[in-house]
Amino acid sequence: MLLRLLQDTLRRRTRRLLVTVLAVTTGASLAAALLGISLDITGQMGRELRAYGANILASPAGEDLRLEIGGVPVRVSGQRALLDETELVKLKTIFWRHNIAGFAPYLTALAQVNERTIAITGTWFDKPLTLPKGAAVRNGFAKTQTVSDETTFRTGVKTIAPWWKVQGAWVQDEDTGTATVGAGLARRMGWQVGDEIAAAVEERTARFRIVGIVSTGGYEEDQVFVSLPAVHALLGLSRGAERVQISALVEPDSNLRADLRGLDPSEMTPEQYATWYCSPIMGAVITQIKEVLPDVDVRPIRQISQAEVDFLDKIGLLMTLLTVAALGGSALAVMTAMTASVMERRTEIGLMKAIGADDGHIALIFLSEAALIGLVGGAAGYVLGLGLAQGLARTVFSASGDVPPVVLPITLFLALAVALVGSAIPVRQAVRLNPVLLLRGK
Amino acid sequence: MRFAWRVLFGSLRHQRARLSIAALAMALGSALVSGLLNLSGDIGGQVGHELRAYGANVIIRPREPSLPAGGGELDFGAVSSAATFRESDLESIKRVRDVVGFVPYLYTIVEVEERRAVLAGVDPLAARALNAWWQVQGRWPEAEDEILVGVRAAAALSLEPGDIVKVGYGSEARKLRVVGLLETGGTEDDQLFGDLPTVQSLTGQPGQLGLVMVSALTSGRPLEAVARELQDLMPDAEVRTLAQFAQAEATVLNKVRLLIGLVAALVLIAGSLTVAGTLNTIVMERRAEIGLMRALGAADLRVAGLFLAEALSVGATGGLVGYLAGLALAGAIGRQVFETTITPAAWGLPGTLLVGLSVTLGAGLLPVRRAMDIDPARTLRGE
Amino acid sequence: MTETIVRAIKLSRFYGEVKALDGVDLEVERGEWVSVMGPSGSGKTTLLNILGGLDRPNSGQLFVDGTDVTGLPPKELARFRRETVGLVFQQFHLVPYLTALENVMLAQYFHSMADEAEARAALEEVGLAERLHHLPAQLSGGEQQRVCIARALINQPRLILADEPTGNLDGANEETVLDIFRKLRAQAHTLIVVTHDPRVGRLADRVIALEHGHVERAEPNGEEAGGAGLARPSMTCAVPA
Repeated sequence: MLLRLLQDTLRRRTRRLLVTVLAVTTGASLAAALLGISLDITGQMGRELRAYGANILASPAGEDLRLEIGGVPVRVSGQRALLDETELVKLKTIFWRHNIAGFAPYLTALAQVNERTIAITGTWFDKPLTLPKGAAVRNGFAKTQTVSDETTFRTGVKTIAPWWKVQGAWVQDEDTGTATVGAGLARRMGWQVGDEIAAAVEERTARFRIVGIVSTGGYEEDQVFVSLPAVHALLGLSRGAERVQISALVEPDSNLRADLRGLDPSEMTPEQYATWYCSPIMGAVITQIKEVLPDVDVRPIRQISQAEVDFLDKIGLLMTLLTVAALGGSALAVMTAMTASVMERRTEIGLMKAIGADDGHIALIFLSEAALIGLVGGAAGYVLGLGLAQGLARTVFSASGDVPPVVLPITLFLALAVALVGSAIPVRQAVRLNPVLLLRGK
Repeated sequence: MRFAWRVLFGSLRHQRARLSIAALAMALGSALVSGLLNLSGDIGGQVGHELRAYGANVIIRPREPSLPAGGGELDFGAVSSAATFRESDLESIKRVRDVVGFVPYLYTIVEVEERRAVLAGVDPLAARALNAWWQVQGRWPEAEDEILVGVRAAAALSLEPGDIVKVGYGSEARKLRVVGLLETGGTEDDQLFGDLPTVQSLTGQPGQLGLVMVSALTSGRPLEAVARELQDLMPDAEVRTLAQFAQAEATVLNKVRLLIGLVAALVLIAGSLTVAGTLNTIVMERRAEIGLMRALGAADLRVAGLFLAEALSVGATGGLVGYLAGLALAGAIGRQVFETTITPAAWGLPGTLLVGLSVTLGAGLLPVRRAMDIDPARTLRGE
Repeated sequence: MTETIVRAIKLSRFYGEVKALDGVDLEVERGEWVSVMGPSGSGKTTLLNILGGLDRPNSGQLFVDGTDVTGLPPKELARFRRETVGLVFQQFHLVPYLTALENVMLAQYFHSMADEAEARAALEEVGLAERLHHLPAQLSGGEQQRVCIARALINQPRLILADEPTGNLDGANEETVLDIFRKLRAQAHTLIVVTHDPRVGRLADRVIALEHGHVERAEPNGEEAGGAGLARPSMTCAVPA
């Protein structure tokens, strides 16, 4: 009979039911959308923050004291320690390889140009690197797998320093005869695109044709940029870089599992360490980089990484609070809608009482309806919310917003709970009343 | 007219329960709308402030940058004469709107422990305020002979907090005390930082600066505008925006504004629909009443007027309470996240009222209007 | 065999200052058809509500079929309503989105189990075999009232209470419903019918007249009981019972 009652409600009170289901659906879709967004907000926002540039610096272990003013080396020692840039491809084999957005090695030579000492820096601009077939990549704390196909990716200044404004053209990485000159230096020296400059370091010389002028407002403007092999040639080296800037996508430490926060990795149990290792946080990424680049000093560039983490923490908190507030508010609003729909049927409750229904009977009937409304509204709301979350992610971040699957059970549960509680309260109140009052329609 | 008020109040009183539900729904919806409107209105300013944690985004340099030699043979491809600019020019910077802080620097190369190192003269208080990521082991310099040493420099020169080190520039020398080690992961790790006047006197450049790093908000006017204003105040210097920070900040600010704006729109729509649904349900109950009144011969306008008055009472009460609740909510969230107070958005109140009014009229009165188009007998029968 | 099925002792019900019932005593025997009559405001509906367990008196006692109704907790009162009494309302009070058949089955559902065959038979008894699957909105007033009666009877109550059963009906429908009541009386059901219509009142075995919450008079209808009788002059003397 209960089933029959439900069917009848569906068939004959469709319009009223639909209005209530609509209320639940809107609440549920808001919940699903906001949950979906806020669960991944630090990842999405973190990707945007890569626009600030590299947040990790790798330099050769050693006791060199760099003399740099305003980012421009003013003196380079003859025997400075260097790291091998050909090893850098290994950065794409670490567990968090997909979080390494890009990296660029640098080597600066102080060369004589027109009787002046100019800083000439070699780097990668947009260099293709290949991970050969069969290379071992880490895909778990203690697991590796081999790459089935050769993969190529491009990295360099173009990737990690998106704010470079180059008037003219970029230097090609295989080309050792071209240069991109900083705007400040170009102005002072009277250089323009197309000019040729001759540089000399000790007895070695090289000629560069200026193909582009870069302006950034910062220290880049006081240097000349050429391909890394060109600087190697000037310095009589076959390889080497004095530092590598790495741009990595990391999440705040506050996203760590609760028991791991604030714990020193060296004091963790093996299980904890494995979890920590597999969390996308700065400490773990740096550890993994050090594993593939031994004898290299790896540290966070605090100016970028600290502000980033603090900002992500705040945005994460903001979205969480917004979600909680919106969820709370809409849960209450939906409960109000349920209450209104029960209140509308007071005469019905009265008549059921009059013909001998138990409070339990009445509760069962109304709560079954509420459960149905909750489930249908929750499911519809989830689907809608999914679309909304994706639309939002695409609009704001130009990325696909994949909603974690846990959002489905949460949305359904919330919708069900809200519908049930929202009905239970007015039903409980109504069954306590005198049937005569209910029948009168008060 | 007096009787009309009696009818209205009687009606309101008689249906307290039902109208309280309506008012509650209205309040909840308005709270959400108001909260989000106020939050999204101020989010740009809040986030803009947060992004100052990245440090300076404007740089002021002398027209010809100087990389002064110390002891002769070093020359860096720039005009070798010491090109600096005057410290006194800085006074005017303080008054520029949107400038949050600035740090003046004077760089030089000195001899320490028979090696060369970069020594920068700074204002420690300003540096500490602007460069939030400077991590100091030990303490910050307070006296004029105290210095900070970057961790790599400290390792290379074997210096520790507490050491007194002799720093030489040409024929000048100073005995300076290391009070802290600085770690930033950047070039500062290789440098020494001392009090600005001390470095100025050591290098014989009293009142001169090599560089000023400025931190300015970009949530109000564009950074270029601030830079132009600074340039006008300091014609002897070159003012540039640091693209690295300016560009990223603009991107991030826009994304956050867009995100919160869209979320606000979502909440607005969802809140309105839910409230509309509730009001609709409540009003549907009244159709018999409408039929009765019309059967008694009431003019449609009177009936509509009564319902409108009821709707407005409910809408206004709920809306006002909701607006205030939403304001408090936005403030609480703002305090929790940004630790500052939110300024209420100018369009917060009118926006909330507008939404509330539309929902009330749409969901509350539309069904009433439709009921009035029907033959009274049918509404009385309960169809 | 006569046994007292309803015994009401000094029932009083007031709302604030207004006394709807004031010390009403009543006894009804099994198989009796009693009419409760009086002008509007006399308290007859209030009395019926209390007899049916829909309302509680402020003072006094009520025994129905041996049970002390006034002392029953709400759960037992609900059971009383579904097992012991059957209610027929003036406004019908049918669930608008259930068919005639389903409205009767609803009463079964609360009692024990819905039985479609039984419900169908009940509706056929009251002449609604053709209207089983109609919604209340598709039924005339008389038909709705008959559904109400079928519903009231489905759980075989000891006592049938009807509040102005013909109040909303026109002539032909009224006769149909009264016929059903006559049939019920013939089947030895106990009926208490509230009415203001003297013609309906005269059909009963006994008439109880209420005025301002008091029983003004309670007298049998004599030979006219059970059938259409000649009009009797209305009661005039006010003798408190």
